[in-house]
Amino acid sequence: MILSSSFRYLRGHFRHYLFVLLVVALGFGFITTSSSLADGMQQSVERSALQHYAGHVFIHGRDRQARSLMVMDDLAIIEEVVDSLLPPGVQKVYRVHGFDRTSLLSGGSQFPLKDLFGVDFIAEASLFSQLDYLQGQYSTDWDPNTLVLSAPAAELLKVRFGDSLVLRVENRQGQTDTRELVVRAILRDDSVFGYSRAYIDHTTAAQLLGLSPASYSVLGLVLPDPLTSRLWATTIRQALENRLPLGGPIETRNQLTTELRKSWQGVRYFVFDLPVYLGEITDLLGALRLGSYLLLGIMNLVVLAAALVTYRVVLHQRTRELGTLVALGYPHIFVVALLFFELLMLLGLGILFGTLLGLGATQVTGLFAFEWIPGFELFLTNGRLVPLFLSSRFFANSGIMVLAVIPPVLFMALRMVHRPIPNLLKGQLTAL
Amino acid sequence: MRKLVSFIMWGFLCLSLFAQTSTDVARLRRADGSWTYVDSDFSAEYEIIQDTPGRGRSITKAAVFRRDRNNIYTIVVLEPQADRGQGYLKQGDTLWIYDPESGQFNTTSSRDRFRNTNARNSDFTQSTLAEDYRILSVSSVRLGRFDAFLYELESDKSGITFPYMKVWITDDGRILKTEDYSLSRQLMRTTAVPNYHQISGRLVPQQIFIVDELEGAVVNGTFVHERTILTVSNPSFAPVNDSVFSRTFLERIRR
Repeated sequence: MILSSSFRYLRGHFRHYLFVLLVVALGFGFITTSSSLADGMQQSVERSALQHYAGHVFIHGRDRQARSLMVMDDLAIIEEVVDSLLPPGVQKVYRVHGFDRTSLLSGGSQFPLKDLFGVDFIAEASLFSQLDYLQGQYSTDWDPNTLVLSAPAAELLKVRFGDSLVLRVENRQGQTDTRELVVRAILRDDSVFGYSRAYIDHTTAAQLLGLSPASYSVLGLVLPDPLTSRLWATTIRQALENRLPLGGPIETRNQLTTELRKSWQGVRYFVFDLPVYLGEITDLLGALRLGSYLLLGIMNLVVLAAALVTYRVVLHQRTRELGTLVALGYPHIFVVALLFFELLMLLGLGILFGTLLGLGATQVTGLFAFEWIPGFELFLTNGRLVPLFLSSRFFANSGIMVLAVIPPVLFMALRMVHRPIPNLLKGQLTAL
Repeated sequence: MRKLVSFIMWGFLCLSLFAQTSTDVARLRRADGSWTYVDSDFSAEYEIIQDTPGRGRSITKAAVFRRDRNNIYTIVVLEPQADRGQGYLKQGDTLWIYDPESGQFNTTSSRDRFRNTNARNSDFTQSTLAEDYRILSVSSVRLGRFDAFLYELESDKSGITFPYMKVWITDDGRILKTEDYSLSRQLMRTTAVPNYHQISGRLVPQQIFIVDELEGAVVNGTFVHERTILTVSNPSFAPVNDSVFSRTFLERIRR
C-alpha cells in the first residue's frame, strides 16, 4: 500500500522532482563513466601484465655467476612444494625467460630484446589463441623455429610474417649462440610490455641459453582469485625457505631490485606476486582508483546538495498535504516511509537514467583513439579506452549514492512530520 | 718380427702426431705472444674508427695502458671532446667504466662492445687463445701473400664469447685473420690484422679491421657491413706508473 501510494505521490509531484532526477542521473552517469573507464583501464593493464608475465605468483631462480640468468635448477623441489600447497584450479605456466641477453638481427639491423620468452605453445594455447595478431595467427603447428614478435620490434627490424631472422643469445656460459627463426606471427601490442618482447619455443630457448631441454626459468601460477596473490606468494616462500636458497621477502619493485643486486653463489630463488613486477604501474592504478573514489565523493556531495535543496522546497510545498495525512491519523512513520519510498524510486529512476547515460558516454569515448598520449597506451585496448561494467561496482556506486542521499533527506522529513499538526496544516515549516 | 715393426711404426706415428700437436700449440702460443706482453708494460694510442652504414663514421682516440702480467689495463678516451676523460679500468675480473660527467664508476663486461663499436672491451687486452681454446684442426694455407696456418679452435670455457674460431697464423706467430663463430657455427665477426709494428723484436698490431658479419645496412642495393678500424700508434714498452692502473688516476685526469 505504501509503495503504491509512494508511486502515486511521486507521479503527482513529478515535475517538482525533475531537478533532483536530472542531478542524480547526471551524477550517476558521470560516476558510471569514470568508474567503468577506470576499471577498464585497470583490466587492460592487468590483462597485458598477465599475458606478459603469465601468472599472478612467480617463482624463479637466478644464477648470479651467469650474469643473473633466470634458471630453476631445482624444479622438482619447487613443484613438490607448490603441488602440496595449491588448491585445484590453479594453472601452472612454465617458461624460459631470457631477460636482457638476447637480440634479433635482420637486414643488418639489431634489435635488443628485453624479454625473450621460451613458451610451450601447446600448453599455453589458451593464451596464444586469444592474443591480438597483426599478422599471422596462432597455430598448433608452430615448430621449434617459430618466432612470435611484438609489432614495435617487427617494425624496427622491418620484418613481416614469414621472414627469417637471426636470434643472438648470450648463454649461461657467456658464449654467443645464434639461431635462425621464422616470424610466424606479429602481435599487436604497443604497451610498455610489448615494446621489446618475443616468444619462441621453450626447447629452443633452453638450448640457446645453455639449459637442459627440460629446464625452465620461471614458474607462474595463474590464480582463480588474483587478490590472493600476496598471500600465496608468502605461503610458498615460507614453504621453500628451508629447502632452497631463497632471496628475502619481496613486496615491491624496489625490494626486488635490491634483492637482485646482492651477491650470492649459484642459483638463488625468488618468490613474489604480479604487483611487484608492475611496480609504479600498481601505484598509478592505486592513484587512479583513489581519483575515481574522490570523484564519486564529489558527485555524491553535489547530488546530496541538490537533493536537500529540492526536497526542502518540495516539502515546503507539500506541508499541508503531509499535515493532513498526520491529522487523519496516519502514523508519523507511515508518512516518513511514504517519503522514503518516493525518494528511493526517484533515486532508482535517476540511477537507471545515469547508467544509460554512462553507457552512452563510454561508447562515445570508445570512438576516440588515445594512443597519442605518451605512456597512456598501457591503459588502452587496441588504442581505445574500453570500459568495464562490473555488477559489484554498479551496486557499490548505487549503494553509496543511496546511503549518501537518503539519511539526510529522511532526517529532514522526520523533523517535519514531528511539527505540531496545526503548524503543518498552516503550511508552517520555518523551523526546518 | 712383424709385430715389432708394426709397434715401431705406430710409435713413430704417435710421436710425430704429438710433435705436430705440440708444434701447433707452440705456434698458437707464439700468436698469443704477439698480442701479449707479460715481461713489460705496454702503452699506445688507439684510433678507433667506426663505420656504420647509413649512420656515418665516428672516431674515438684513446690512450691504452696495459700490464698483462697482472691482467690489468686502463683506457682513457681522448677524443671526441665530449667524451674526453671517460675511462676503463680492468682490475682482475672487474672492468670499471668511469663517467667524468657524473664522476661515477660502473661495472661493465669484457664481452661488451667498446663504445658501440664492433670492437669488444676484451680486444684491448692480452690474447689467450692457447689457454682458452682447444685445437680442432690445423692446416697449411695461403692467405693473400702470406703462407699461414689455419687453426680451427673450439672452447667450452665459461666467459668465452665465441665458442668457435678460425685463426690464420704465420709461422712466426702473427695473427693475420680471425673469424669468430657462435655456438651454432654462425659467422659473427671477422678480424684482419694486415700490419704489425716490430719494436725490439716484439710484434704489435698496427691496424686491426673488424667486420660485423650480421650488422650493417643495404646501401645502393648492396649490403654493407658495419666495420671498425683500430689503428695503433706510438706503441711503447716503457714502464707505466702503478698509479695509472687505479680509479684515482681516472678521477684525477678528469680534473
